[in-house]
Amino acid sequence: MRLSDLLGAEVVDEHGRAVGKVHDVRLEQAGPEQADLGPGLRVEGLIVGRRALGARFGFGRGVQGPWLLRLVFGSLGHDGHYVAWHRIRSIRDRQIRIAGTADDLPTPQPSGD
Amino acid sequence: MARRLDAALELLDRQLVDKDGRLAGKVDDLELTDPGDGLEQPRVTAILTGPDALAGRLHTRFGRWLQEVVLRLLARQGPARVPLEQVEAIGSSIELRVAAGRLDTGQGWARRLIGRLPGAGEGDAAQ
Amino acid sequence: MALSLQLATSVNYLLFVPVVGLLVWLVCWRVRFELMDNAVGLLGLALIVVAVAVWRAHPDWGAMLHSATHPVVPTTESHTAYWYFAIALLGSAMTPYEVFFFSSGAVEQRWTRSDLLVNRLNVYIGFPLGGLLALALMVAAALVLEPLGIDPSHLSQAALPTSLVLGRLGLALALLGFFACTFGASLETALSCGYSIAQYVGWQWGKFVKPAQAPRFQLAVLVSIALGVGLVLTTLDPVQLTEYAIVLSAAALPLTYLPLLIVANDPAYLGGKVNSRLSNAIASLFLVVLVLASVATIPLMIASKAGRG
Repeated sequence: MRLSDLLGAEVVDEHGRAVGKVHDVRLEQAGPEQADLGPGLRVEGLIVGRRALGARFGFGRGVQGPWLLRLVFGSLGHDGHYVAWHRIRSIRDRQIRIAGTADDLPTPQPSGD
Repeated sequence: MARRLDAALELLDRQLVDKDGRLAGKVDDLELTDPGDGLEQPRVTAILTGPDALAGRLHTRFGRWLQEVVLRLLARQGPARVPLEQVEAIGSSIELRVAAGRLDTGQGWARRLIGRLPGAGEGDAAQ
Repeated sequence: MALSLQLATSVNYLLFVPVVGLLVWLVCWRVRFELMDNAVGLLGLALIVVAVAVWRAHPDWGAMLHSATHPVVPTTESHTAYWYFAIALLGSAMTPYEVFFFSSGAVEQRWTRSDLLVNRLNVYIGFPLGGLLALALMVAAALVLEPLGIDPSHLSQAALPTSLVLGRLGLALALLGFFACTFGASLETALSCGYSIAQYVGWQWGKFVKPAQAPRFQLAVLVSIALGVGLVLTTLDPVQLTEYAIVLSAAALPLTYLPLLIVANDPAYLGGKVNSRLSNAIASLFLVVLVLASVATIPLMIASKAGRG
């Protein structure tokens, strides 16, 4: 499987209602903390739904200014939902079905160390 | 605490830099293990780069057609793979442990063309 | 450049175009970056002769200053045309390709932190000097051509005031300056095409490696020169072509400016050298100006019939 198979896929809840599209995939180092990626990277979850433009620019991950742009492009956090991998019930034909509904999905935490 | 990365934001489309500082294309896709029926958490096994990896990102009929055309035209066996073990560091660019020359990123035809012109430096020590 | 050669030799400029194209490519192919950059820059200084010509023409400085500070649009001309020209001037001073050329050039010349000062001086001295020379060209035209009723639409007419005031030597230097400036611009834009395409796709780029090690970059440069030559050979008016290109690039400016401003604030790329609050304040103000200019470009172009209305 490839990353691009997950990106853009439709996510639906257990009732078949659309939650959104997969915009990003959260990876985590599978082994102990070290620069070496030997232990590998593992998929932890999916980021579904609209992502704030500001996050793409780096606001919230180190970029501080200019305040004009911060104002215009908005928030430090992400919009949308975080779907932990264990909530997925099926992946078929670019459609991902999850347990539960959109309401009990948390918002994504920023990535980093 | 283990490092967390957002694949599309921090890995995809980043520049690959080899151990000598040479540029080796961009991260066009990631190869993951198949979750299978048990829906196990996929692991990243390799970085994929090159025109066929890029064509694979278009999940439309046009994209699939493009993939087949590119594969046939450039007579390739699939996208260039960088196994994850060969990644040295992930930052604003992805640094590799290997030399770029070992990767087939589809520039052979350009090199043959340009190499013919006088002064191209072809025949100097290969990377 | 071909126009400059035509003025010097009376041979039709179209014949020079492929020759000049080949010359541009050869320099991109073989000449060392630093040498190319410095040589063209120094030769371009020949344009200072235009400023000298303005000085020697003994204009009424007081009257000029007065009309500059009290602008009045003649009843026969429209305000929209002047706003259109203002955007064109902005576009000629700030062209997006310069971002790629300067930043890639810094890598080509292997700049380090200690070279930041040189870059600052380059900007603080170079750009105002360029502006001054552009101003000199405009003042010279206003002083000499306007009373004669000449509306310059050909390069030769831009050199006319200098040759009238300073004679043959003045004309020769002006032509040298035109040639050097246009040659330099061709080199920069050709290389910028290569830089921007190669950097977008991820290919190895640069003149600091042998051409065979950056083949697709070299191809991109070659193809863009060939396309440029082809475009000029269609006999479209080169001065008008240049004007449209500059105006449209002014319209596209915010798209290059915005990412640059954000990166200038990103410590992951700049470490401790991110923008100060003052820089950000000035830069944000400028961004607003650029966005306004960009949005107004096409309407103004239509309303003023590209400055003719």
